[in-house]
Amino acid sequence: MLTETEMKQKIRDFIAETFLIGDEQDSFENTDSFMATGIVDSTGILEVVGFIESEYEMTVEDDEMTPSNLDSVNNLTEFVIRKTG
Amino acid sequence: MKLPDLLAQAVERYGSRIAITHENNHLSYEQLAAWANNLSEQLRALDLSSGARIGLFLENSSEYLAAFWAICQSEFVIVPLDTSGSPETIASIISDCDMEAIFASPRFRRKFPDIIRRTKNLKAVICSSPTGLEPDSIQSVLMASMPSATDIYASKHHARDDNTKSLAAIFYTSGSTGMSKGVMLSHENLVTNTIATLEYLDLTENDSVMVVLPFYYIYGNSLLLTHIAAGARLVIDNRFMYPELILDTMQNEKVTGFSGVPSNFTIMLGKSTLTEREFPHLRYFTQAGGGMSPDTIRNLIEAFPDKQLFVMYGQLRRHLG
Repeated sequence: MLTETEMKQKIRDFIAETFLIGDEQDSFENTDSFMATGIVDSTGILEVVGFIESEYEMTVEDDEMTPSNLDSVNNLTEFVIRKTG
Repeated sequence: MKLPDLLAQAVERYGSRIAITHENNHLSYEQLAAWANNLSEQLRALDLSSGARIGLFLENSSEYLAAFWAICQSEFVIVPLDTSGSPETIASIISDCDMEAIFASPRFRRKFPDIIRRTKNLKAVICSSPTGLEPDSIQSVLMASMPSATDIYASKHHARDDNTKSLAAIFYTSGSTGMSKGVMLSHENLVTNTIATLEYLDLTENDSVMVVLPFYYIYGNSLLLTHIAAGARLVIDNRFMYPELILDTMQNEKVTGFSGVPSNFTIMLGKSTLTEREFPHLRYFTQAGGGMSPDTIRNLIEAFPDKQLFVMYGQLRRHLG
């Protein structure tokens, strides 16, 4: 079982490697909104959902596709913990 | 008829009605026209060439519309820019069309210095907050803010050249086949297309459309023009990344139309509660911007048998459902 810190790092690495290049990979905060910063777009968020679904063996329901669940590294981590904990 | 006449007619007929809803702010036709007048004055104070190209580097917003109408009623040429474009791409378009001024959103401030450094003839950046650019590199102009609802709109009659064949806007292609190319559209091109489309969709002042497509796309621009010409309402929401928020807005604002490209429909049908919700006010969907798969079309029609679907892509506009 991963600790929260490890899980957060894994999610952060996925975001950085999938959507950012070079120096940008270190230049965002875990609290940054993906939408406000433009890191992730409307098709990108589906990749994020696909990642947490396969990585943490969970299903994201249609009505869970909201910013409070998905819109930052911290929100994603808390959401995964709520769903799988 | 020229583009500014579309807004002028709407203001005359529907002045106090809402033209734009964005983030719970509502802007009436009179406010929009008053704002456009204020911005026109700012443009005229800049000493630009006749027929100067003016860029729009703004996300979908009330500012976009006010600047759009200000440019065309000042007889300048509108050049909408892809807000996701890199500084290199933006700068190459600025040079290609010899742009003299640009309305820019503070959201993209990080890109400004890089863009300015790569361009020669750009004279001014008009922005709603300080640009932070060196005054010796370019003139920064603070964009006039939205007039309050109590400001009185005075219709102004500008002496205008009535040549409808004159250039109104240049839309740059996405450049998927190499360099992006500027498509030059006259007032007549845009007005004729607008009137044909609004008749075809049977738009009236009672309509309102959910706008998730960027106005810098020609299809998004068509939404802008047709709904303003009809005295209808544009409901802007730039959060399509979370379709649930868009569906909430559609219900709360009681929109009568939704316009999307195929990926919008694929995402909404695949990963949102679209088909579980009720949209009693919704009258139609329009789809353009690429061929949509027959499965997606079928799923949409089956989920919403009482709504019209206009497929506006390709040589033939088909009317289904």
